Amino acid sequence: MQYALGFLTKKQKEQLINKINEPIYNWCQDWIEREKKPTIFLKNFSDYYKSLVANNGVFAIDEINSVFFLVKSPNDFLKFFFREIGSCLPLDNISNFLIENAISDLLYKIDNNKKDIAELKNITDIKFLGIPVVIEINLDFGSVELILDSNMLKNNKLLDQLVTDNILNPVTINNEVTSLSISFPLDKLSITDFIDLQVGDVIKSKHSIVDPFNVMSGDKEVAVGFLGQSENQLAVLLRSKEEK
Amino acid sequence: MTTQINDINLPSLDGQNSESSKDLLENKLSIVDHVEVELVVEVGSVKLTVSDLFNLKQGSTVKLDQSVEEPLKLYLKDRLIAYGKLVAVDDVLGFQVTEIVNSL
Repeated sequence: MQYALGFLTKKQKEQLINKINEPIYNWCQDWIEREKKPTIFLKNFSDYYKSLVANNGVFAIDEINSVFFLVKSPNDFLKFFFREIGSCLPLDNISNFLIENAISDLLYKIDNNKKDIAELKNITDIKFLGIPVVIEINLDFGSVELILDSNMLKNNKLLDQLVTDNILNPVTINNEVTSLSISFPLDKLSITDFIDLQVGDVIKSKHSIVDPFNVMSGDKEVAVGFLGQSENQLAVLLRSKEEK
Repeated sequence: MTTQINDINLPSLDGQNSESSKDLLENKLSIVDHVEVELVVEVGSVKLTVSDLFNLKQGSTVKLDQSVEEPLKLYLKDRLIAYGKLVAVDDVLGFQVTEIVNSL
């Protein structure tokens, strides 16, 4: 499956930013001046990042495995803990020791629930439930990158945990049949007008001709759709209901 | 002054129904004319699997099971009332009746 950041609506992107902004500021507070805020960019989880994950792995930094810290090289940690002097450090055992401790310290800062690096699992094969998005956080002296599963935007954490634990597997319902439907109400009629209804009568609605229709699956509104036709059938062009 | 409190014995109404009696209400419809009904236009629907539903994208086009030439259905709750077509009434949608299916 191809994932694309463009799949996310503007509102979903804003949700992503909002979702990560506060913790990012908290995580970065030790490394940045108070008046300097990190800037955040969203990027596609491209083949480049896929290969990085496969080769270097990532660290899961939340309980439901929806935010991952991407490690390109030990230099990433040098940048944050030794900053400019990183390039001057000799690559010896002492440096390695310092780097390992720096990694541990960094991971402790970004996830207070895990105090020991040994508790953190280096993952090279991530199973995304939603759309993976790369979050680049630029600080004044460098940048870190996180991979975020858009599934974390959903509030139903219990469901996320169930899925993660493989207790509930969405694949099993893939072939079940559901439906999409479009309907809209007309202005209410008095009983007399209803009884007198005749061929040729026109009943108005409050639905603007330029507004999209609500697209329902059962009794749930799942999207909005602009009505059109395709191959002599009525058809709808779907948009997220968030864009309504 | 003394207040008396007594039990009430309601009379039996068994056997009082008479199907041959004259209707109680006249001009029935005028009595309920304040009641309003809401009619709903069914534009169309389509069946699809959960997998297909989950894979829908922004900008996906979904064909409905409604031919362009076929009239749309007008419902009062679950009851099919009429057929017709969409029309524009100024800047809002309207429904023009082309066939009445049922009458009260």
